[in-house]
Amino acid sequence: MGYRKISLLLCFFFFAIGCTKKKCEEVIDQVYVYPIEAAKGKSSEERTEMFKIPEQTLHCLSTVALIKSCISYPEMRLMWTMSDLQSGFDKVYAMCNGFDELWGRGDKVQSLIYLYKQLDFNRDWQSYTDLENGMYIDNIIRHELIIAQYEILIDLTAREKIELFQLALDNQKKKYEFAHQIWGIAGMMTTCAILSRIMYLDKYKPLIEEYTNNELMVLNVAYILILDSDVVNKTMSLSEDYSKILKNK
Amino acid sequence: MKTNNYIFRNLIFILFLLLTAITANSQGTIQTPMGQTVSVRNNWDTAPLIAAWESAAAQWIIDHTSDAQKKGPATSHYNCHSYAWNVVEGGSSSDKWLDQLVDGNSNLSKYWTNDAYTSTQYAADHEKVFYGADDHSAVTTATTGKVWSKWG
Repeated sequence: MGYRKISLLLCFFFFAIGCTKKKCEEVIDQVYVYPIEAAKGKSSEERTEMFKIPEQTLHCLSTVALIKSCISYPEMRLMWTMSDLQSGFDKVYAMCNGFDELWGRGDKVQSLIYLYKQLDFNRDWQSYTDLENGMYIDNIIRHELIIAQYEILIDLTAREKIELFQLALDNQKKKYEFAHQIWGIAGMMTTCAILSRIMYLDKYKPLIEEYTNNELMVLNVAYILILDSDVVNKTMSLSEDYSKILKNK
Repeated sequence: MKTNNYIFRNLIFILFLLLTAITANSQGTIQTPMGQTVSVRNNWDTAPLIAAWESAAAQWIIDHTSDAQKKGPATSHYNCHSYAWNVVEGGSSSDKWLDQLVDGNSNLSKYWTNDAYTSTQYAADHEKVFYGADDHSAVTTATTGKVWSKWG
C-alpha cells in the first residue's frame, strides 16, 4: 500500500469521525435556563438569538426536560398576541429551536401525555389570587397548545390516541364546570383543539359535516380560535360520541 | 282568568329565558359610520386570564425596555380590528370580536368601501392602519411611527 493510499484512507477515517453526531455523555434532566437577565433591553432579534438553546445542550436534554424548556421559553407569552392561538404558536415556533428538536424525538408523544397527566385540573381555585390562577391555567394552555399541533397528533398510536382523547375530554369537562369563573372561552380553546383535530384527522363524519357547514368550527380546528360558545358545546358532544367509538374499535 | 294570567306571566318568563340563552350564543352585528352591517363574534374571558395577560404584557415591556404604554385592560371580548375601527369610535366593547372575513366574504373592509373612510397610501393622511399581511389594525397617533393597537 503506497503512501498516497494510506493518506487517503486516513483522510476518509477522520472525515467519517467528523461527520458522526456527537453522542451525549450525559442526558440532561434539568430544564434549560434561558439568559433572561442578560437579554433585558436587547433588540428582539438579539433576544431570539440569545434564547436559542446551544446545539449540544439541545440534543442532550431528556424529552421531558426539552418539553419543559419549550414551555418555559421566555417569548412563549407571544402565543396570545396574534389573531388566533395557532398563529401565536407559529410565531413562537419560528423563534424557539426547541420545537424542531422535539418533533424529531421518538418519545415525544409519551412524554407529552406523561406531563399532561401531571396537571391538576381540580385545584382549589378559591385559595389562590386571580394572577396565580391565571399563570397556572396559562401553563396548562401551553402544554395543550403543543399537544394540539399536527406534528404530535399524527404520531399518536391507537392506544395513545384513546388515552389522550379521554384525558382531554375529561379535562374539558372540568374546565366547563369553571368556565365562567376561571377558563373563559379563551381557556377552553386548546382542549377543544386537541379533541376536534383528532376527530378531524380520523375523518369522523359528524365532525367533518360540522367543519364543512360551519365556519366557526373551521376556526376551532384550523386556527385554535373559538368565537362562539356553541362551538365548545358541539365539540364536547361530538367528542363524547367519538370517545365511545374509539374505545370500541 | 287568574290561571290565564299565571300561564301568561310564566310564558313571558320562559320566553325571556330562551331569548337570553340565544342572545348569549348568537353572532352579533355592528354598524359602520355609514350604516353598513358588520358581523362580530363572542370570545369571553375571566379575571384569572386577564391577570395573566396583563402580567405578561407588563413583563414584555420591561424585558424589551419598550416605550409601549398600556391603554386599557386586557380582554378577549374584542380584537385589534374591533379596537381600531369600533371601540375607539365609542362602539360597544362587549362580545365584539371583528374578523377581516366572515364566511369568506369581506367584513372589515366595509369600513373603507363606500363608507366614511377612504383608502390612502400616504402615511401622513391616515387615521387608521390596516396591515393586510399580518391581519392587524391600529389607530394612528400624532407621532409618526407610533400607533395605538390591541395585542391579540
